[in-house]
Amino acid sequence: MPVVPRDCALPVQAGIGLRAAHLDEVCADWPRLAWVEVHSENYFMAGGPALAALESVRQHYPVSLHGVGMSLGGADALDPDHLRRLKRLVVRIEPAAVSEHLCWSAIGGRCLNDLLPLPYTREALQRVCQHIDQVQQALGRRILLENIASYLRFLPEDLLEWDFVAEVARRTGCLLLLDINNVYVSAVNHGFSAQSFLDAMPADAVAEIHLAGHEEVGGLLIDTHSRPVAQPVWALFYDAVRRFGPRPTLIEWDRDLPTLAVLQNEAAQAQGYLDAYRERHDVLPA
Amino acid sequence: MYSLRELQTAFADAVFQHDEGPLLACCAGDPARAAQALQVYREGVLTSLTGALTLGFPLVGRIVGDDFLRAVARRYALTRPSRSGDLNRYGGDFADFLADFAPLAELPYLADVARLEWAIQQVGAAADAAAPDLSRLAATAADDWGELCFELIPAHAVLVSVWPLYDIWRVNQPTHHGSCQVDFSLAQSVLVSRRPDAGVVVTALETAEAAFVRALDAGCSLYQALSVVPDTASFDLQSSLSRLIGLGLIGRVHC
Repeated sequence: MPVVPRDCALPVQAGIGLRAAHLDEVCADWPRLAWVEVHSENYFMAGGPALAALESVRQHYPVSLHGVGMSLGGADALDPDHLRRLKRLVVRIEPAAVSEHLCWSAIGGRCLNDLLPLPYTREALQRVCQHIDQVQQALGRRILLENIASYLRFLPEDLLEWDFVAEVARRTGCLLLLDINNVYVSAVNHGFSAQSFLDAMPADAVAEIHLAGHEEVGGLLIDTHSRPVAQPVWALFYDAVRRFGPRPTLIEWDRDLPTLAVLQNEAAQAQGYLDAYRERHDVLPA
Repeated sequence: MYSLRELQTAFADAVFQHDEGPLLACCAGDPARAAQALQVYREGVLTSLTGALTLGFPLVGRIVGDDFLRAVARRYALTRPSRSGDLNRYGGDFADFLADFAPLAELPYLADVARLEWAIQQVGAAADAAAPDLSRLAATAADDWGELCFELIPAHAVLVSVWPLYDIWRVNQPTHHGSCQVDFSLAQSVLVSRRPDAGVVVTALETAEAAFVRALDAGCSLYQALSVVPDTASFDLQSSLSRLIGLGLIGRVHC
């Protein structure tokens, strides 16, 4: 199923993840940003200044709501209150895209508030698909599903991670948010080929791309979002652009947050790759 | 082979209880490397939980020191996990935890400081109110005000403390200059409220005034509210009402 504006209306340009520390600066100057992405949960409140600021942001830029806490892969039922709050926010903001992670984060009433890896089993596949169906039905739109970075892999598994991702998209009709840094980090940590991952992605479903920085600790790559995008990740990004065509691309930075100007520079670099592809392939800018 | 629930339960046990065996039994690859990866997850989970608390309770951190707060927060995170996928809702009973935490017994007022900071967070996130409508008040003769009900805006909280809570808050503000002396024989109540133009406002309340505001908030008429005010001698209805209206606390007046 191709991407339609109802499900993803982000411009095919490079945007930035907008964090609370930069909100006042953005709302004071309205700098040139192609689009912004915020963490949905940070705006789950009923009212107040933060939500009002996001509404102002929405008047100036396309906004993507990116969830980190739905626990789509949890063995537990989805938290109805969490889903209700997401829906309230979606109605209020009318975002250009709504995304979540292919992971779990809560079990038996204990929330770990982290993006934790799934065992790629048929049981997990069924559970994730049920939950995505439920979310898409509640929101009345397709969501974008992001592949996570992982440091552990569980056995036995019924599917390879990339086949699992593709199968979820096929069964639920959800779109994909392809995080290139996560592909790279997981490929290095688990010793698979990043190309195999990209090979398995259904091009029509890839609706957004994420880029971020990682760190190496004791031979393990950690998805810290605390650094500029690494060179091999830029290379893999351009590979993805060649395969899938230019896509809305986001620079994520969460820890050791730099100035807004640094984020804008990173976004400009990503934009450079999108433009370079268009020039070589005679694709008109979106 | 574990079910999805068994594997996820084993993961949570490994993170919170250091019970790693059952999870490591189903991890691929070198066990030492899997144990290292698990440690990365454990630190990630505990760092984000403690980070939410240090962000939400800066005043507690200022009083006990940030390192101590991080250590206490980690202890809290290990025993009282988050119950929501929204980390902003984590820490609702952090104040109770601090009250029972033996090493903090010499700072008995600290739990109330944490309650105040939690209230500040909640008030900042509470629903917006419509523009105040006080027309009923203006249209009612002063003699008949007793029957009126004063509906308060959602974005407020009243904290009654046996400690000088307002002064503790005031002298610990980054903008505070001058003496940091606090008279610990005082008991101060605090009103936390939000104005559309000024964000969250923290105000000192007399004990009688706090009881009055709570009664209004419970839906009491003005007459009923006055009957629960303990020490009417120190309480002036006119000035109290105009102060509450000035703070934007009264959303609507009705019969």
